[in-house]
Amino acid sequence: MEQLFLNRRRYRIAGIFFNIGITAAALLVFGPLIYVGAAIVWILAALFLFSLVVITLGLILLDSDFFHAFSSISDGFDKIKYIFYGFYQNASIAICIVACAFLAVAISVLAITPKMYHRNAKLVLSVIGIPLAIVATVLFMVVFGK
Amino acid sequence: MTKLKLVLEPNKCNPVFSIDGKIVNFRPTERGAQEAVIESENDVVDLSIETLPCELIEPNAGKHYLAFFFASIFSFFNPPYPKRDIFEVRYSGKIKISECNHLVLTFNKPKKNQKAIKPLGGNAPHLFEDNPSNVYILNKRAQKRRNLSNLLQTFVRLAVVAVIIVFVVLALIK
Repeated sequence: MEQLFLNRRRYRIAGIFFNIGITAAALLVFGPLIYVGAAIVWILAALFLFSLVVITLGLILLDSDFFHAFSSISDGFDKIKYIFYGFYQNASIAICIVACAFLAVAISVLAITPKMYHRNAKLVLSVIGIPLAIVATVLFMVVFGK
Repeated sequence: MTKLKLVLEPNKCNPVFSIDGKIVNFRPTERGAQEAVIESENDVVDLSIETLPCELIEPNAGKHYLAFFFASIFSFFNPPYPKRDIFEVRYSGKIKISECNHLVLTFNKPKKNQKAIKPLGGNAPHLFEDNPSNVYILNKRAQKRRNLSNLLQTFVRLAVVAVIIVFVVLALIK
């Protein structure tokens, strides 16, 4: 009975390592998607504003302040791009190290834990997560030139 | 010497089987089930099936919870405590091996006062259907602690999301 309690505790420890590692790996792998998502949201917002502008075209032509306000909105996308680049330029290697280290520990603890619900799925995801995180980091380094 | 073959179909529970007080060790089969062959001198054996109590009420649960709470960054990365663990099974019954030497069992979905163990293939249903100990017992202490833990985890996750949003907005304003 004690062994079963111990196995369950060990599985929880592996679960914590897995969750941290896979979150870091997902941040690297799906990072570009976050960027694409932000870009889509911005484009939708810009289109909505553009439709308002078309309706109030006369106001733009008449009021220069309105035109300045509209042009300043377009800076938003550049800012999102800047935050995204800055984050991944500085942190991609650190996130990759965290992902690989935590997933490696998760694999080793899961390997010595008897079969439990979702254990194999976590093992497979951990094994896939490490090379994916490394590939994503290498891509970031190539793209951002660091 | 009589032999009883026990097969446990894949399920989400962590049951502990014991026959005449001895814990049964299962070995996995090729199709994902677990199997054990028990040899006994007696024709009638006592079968006991218990599930592990919830992690939140086991001995030293407070210390372990605190350790996991901080290790998982304020429970943010802590795997959830499964709902099925707040239900307990304490089945005990007798099996006449000469009448039933092959048992295939599985567990029903946990629900308060519902039948827990379900025999498959029509072998010896009377052992489990008529037995009053074959029910899920809701452990209210475990339920209360699990609810508190989930509430805390949700609060921490919302706080983290709010902080990230604030940081992004501040960076955009800059």
